[in-house]
Amino acid sequence: MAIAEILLQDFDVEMKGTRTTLERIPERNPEFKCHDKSMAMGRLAVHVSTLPRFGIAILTTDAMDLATAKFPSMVFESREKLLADFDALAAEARTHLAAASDEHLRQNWKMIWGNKPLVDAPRSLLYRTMFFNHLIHHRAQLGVYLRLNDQPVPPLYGPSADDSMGF
Amino acid sequence: MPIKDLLLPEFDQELRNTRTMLERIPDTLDKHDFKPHEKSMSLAKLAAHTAQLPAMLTIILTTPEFDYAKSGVKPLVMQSRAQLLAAFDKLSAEAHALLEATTDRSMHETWKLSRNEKLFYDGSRYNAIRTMFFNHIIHHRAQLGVYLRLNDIPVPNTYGPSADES
Repeated sequence: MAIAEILLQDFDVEMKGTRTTLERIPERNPEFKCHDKSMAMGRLAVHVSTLPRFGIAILTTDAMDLATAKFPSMVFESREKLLADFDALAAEARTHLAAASDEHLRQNWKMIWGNKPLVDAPRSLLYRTMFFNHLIHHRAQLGVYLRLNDQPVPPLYGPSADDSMGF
Repeated sequence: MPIKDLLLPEFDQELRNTRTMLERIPDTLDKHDFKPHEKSMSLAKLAAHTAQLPAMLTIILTTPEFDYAKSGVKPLVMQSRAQLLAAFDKLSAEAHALLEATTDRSMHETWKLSRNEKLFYDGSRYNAIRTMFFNHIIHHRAQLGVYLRLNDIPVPNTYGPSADES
């Protein structure tokens, strides 16, 4: 089985869970933070919705230089925009993954800061750690933010306190 | 590339980061009942669940199916951080050894998860490993990070810098 085919197996289910989480972000208080040091909810939601860009970069480039890379601002505008951006970027990441050969995925991808190497590892690994797992990580934080705003928390790997999933 | 070779480097990185998170769990009993919300799991319960999750990988790798109602698996109960870390290390080492020995053929076999008559999962063993072990442990580890933050404990960096560590 091709590496891309293996990596695609949990793509749709995780993106669906992510979309459900983003659909529940309340628009009324994007500045909400659970702690002074935490990211604001709107910003965290935008970060989650645009993380597929990282997957796309890993799949379509050879390296990223953080000293010169330009990142779009993480400003929350509306839930509608959040979802539209997420849908488009997740679909694009999926297309690039599905088209990636084993050879391409085995090659190393690099992240540097000017002359300083930060990351140098196979695309297959970085696709997971820098995009997919990274997204699951921040989505889980968003779930706590939903909880603290008394929004229903979607069940992901088992029941949540709001949805028993029939358990 | 054998599927296990795709998973093992990720296993090592993610479990190392999970251990770092568990090492920060406060050992003082008064913090164990901390919840960010009345509907949330307590800190001790969430930490114990996270520490025990490598057992899920062992179950997926060593069984054709798993029925929660008949399993007899007891949830780990947190007594101390040292006890949690010891359990996590032991379960991780077991799961790692099993993963190293898993063939692609076994990865593609069907695995099922149910509770009595209700079926929750029916798919490849590989995909079960992904969703029920890897993605699941990353999910709860991230929640633990928020619990640490809310208790003013430095949050380790995981996929990038945290507000406490660059």
